[in-house]
Amino acid sequence: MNALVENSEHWQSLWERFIDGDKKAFALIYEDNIDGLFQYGSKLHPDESSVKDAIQEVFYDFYIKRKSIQKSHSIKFYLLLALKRNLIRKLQAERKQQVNNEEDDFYSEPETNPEYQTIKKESEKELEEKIKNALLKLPAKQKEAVYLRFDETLPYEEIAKILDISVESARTLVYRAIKTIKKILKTQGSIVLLTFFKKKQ
Amino acid sequence: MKRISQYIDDESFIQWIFAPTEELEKRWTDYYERANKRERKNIDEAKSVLLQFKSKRKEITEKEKLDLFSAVLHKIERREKSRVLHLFHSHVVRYAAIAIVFFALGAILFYQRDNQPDDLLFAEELNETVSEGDAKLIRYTGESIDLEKDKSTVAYSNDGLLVVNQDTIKSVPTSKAPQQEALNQLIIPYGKNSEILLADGTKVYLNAGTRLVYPEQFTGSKRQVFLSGEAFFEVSHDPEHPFIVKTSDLSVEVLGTHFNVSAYPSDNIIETVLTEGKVVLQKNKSGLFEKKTELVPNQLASFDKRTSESTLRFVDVENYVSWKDQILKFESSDLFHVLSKVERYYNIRFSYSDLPLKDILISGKLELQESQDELIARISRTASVDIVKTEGNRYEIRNKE
Repeated sequence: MNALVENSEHWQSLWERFIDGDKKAFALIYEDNIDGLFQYGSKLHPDESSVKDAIQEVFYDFYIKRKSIQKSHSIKFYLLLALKRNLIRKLQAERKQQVNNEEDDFYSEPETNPEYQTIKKESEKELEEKIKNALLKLPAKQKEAVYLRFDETLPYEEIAKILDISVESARTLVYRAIKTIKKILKTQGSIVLLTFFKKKQ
Repeated sequence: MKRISQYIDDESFIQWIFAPTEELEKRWTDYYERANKRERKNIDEAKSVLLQFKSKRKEITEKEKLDLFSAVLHKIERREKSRVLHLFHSHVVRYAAIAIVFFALGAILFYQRDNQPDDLLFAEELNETVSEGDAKLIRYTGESIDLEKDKSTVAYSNDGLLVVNQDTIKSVPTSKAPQQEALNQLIIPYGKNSEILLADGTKVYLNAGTRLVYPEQFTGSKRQVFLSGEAFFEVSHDPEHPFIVKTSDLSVEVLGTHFNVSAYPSDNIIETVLTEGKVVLQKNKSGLFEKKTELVPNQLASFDKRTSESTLRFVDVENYVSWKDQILKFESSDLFHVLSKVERYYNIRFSYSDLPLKDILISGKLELQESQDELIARISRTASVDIVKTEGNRYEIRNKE
C-alpha cells in the first residue's frame, strides 16, 4: 500500500493486531504488499520460482520475528529489504556453482507507454525508442533507486538503507536518471510534451 | 508556483502517476484545473518525465498469490503446532492443531471477512420466491400482521410505535434485547407493493414478489437488512453505521444514498442501480483478494449468478427506479423482460409458444395504475402481438393474425 494509508489510525491498529498474532491482520499486510514485492523481486532475480520462494521465506520470517521488529520504518521497507537480502543470498549461492559474470544487475525493462501507441507518429516512436535505450543503459544502481523511488514511492532514507549508501547518494542516483531522460526529451524538438490530459472530457 | 523538480520529488504526485487512486486522481486533476498556463506546463513536463520510468510489470495471478500465502500460513502453523506438541506430548493436541490450521486457513482465505453465521440461514430462506398469498409483516415475536391493501405502508416512528397503513398498531420496545437484533420479515407477493420506513429513518420501496428481513431496532455497528426481490432504498445518512443490503449472492454497502437492488431468485442477474451517493458491492463468497466494486451515480452493476461476474455500465436510472412511482419505463427492452416485470406487478402469467419475445424491442412507459385490461391492450398494440385471456389471470401471447 502507499504511505498515505500507512499513516492512518486504521493502519496503526492493523499493526498492533499483527504483533498480537492476528492472522487476519497478517493476511491484509500480505495483500497490501505482495504485488510490490513480486515486482521488485522479479527485477532482482530472473527466475520466477526463486522469487516466489524468497517471498514465502520473507513473510514467514516477518511473522515469526514480528515481536522484535523496530517500528521506525514502513512495513513495506522491511519487506523489500528482507526480500533483497534473501535474493542476493540466493544469487550468490548460484554464482558459486557456475562461475558467472560478477556484475550485479537490475532487470528493469521500460514499459511501452500505451499513450504513445495510439498516437503513432514517426518522430514520437523514434523518441520512445531513444528513451527505452537510455533507460536500459542506466547503471543497475540507478535503475534500482529509480524503481524504489517511483514504483514503490519509498523515501530517500529507506532507499539509502536498501542500497546501502548515503541518503545523499540515493538522491543523486535518482536525479541523474531524471536528468538523462529530461535531456532526451528536450533535444527532440523544443518541447515534446505528450498531451496526457487530452482524454479528459 | 512549483518547479518541475519539485513535482518530481512530491510523493503524492509520484503516487498519482505510478499507483493512482480515485482520491489522488481527483486531487491532482482539480489542482491542474486551477493552475495557470505556466504551472500546467510544469506539471505536464514533470508527468511526462516520470512516465518514462514506468517499468514493465510482471503479473502474479490471484491464484498464485493465494497459494503462496497458504504455503506461508502452513509453515507458520507447522511451527506453532510443533511447539504445542513439545509442551503437551499429546495426540489430542495434534488433532486440535490440525483443526485450527484448517479453520484458520478456511476462515482467512475463503470467506468474507466478517460474515456472520446467521447470514447463510437467511440467504437460504430468501431464496424462495414469494408469488402467492397476502402481503404480511411477520414480527420477531412470530406474530403475523396482515397488510390488507395492495399498496401498504409500514413505519417505525421515532417514539417507538409500529404504524401499518397509517393506523398505529403496536408499541415497539426500543431499548430491550440490545445484543440480539430482533428480526422482522416483510413479505410482499406478486400483485402488491409496499413502502416501509425503518427505525433509522431509511425508506424502502418494495416491489412485487419481495421479502425484506430487517431488525426492529438497529443496534450493532452496521445496519444490515436482507433482500430477496426488488427494492429501492433511500438510506438515511449515518457514516458511523454503514447500511448493508445482503442478497443471495451479493452485498451492497452504503453510507447514505439512493439506489435500487433487483435480486429475484428466478432471475440469473442481480441488478444494482445507483441514483445518488456511493455504494460498494461485494460478493458474499469473495476470496481474500477480490476487489470490491464501487458504483457511481447513474451506473448499473449487473451481477451474473452463474459466472459470479459483474459488469458496469451507465444507464438512464429512471428506467430502473420508476416502478416505485407506479410507472414502468423501458428503453429498447425486449418483450420477455417487459412481460416478466408486468407479471410480478399485476400477479398475472403469460404463456407463449414459439414467439421470439427477445427479438421484440419496446420503448416507452406503462402506467401501473391502469386497469389490467387497459394495460394488456396497450402492450398488445405496442408490440403488435395478440394477447388472449385464457383463464383467470393467465394470458397467451400469439402472433398477430
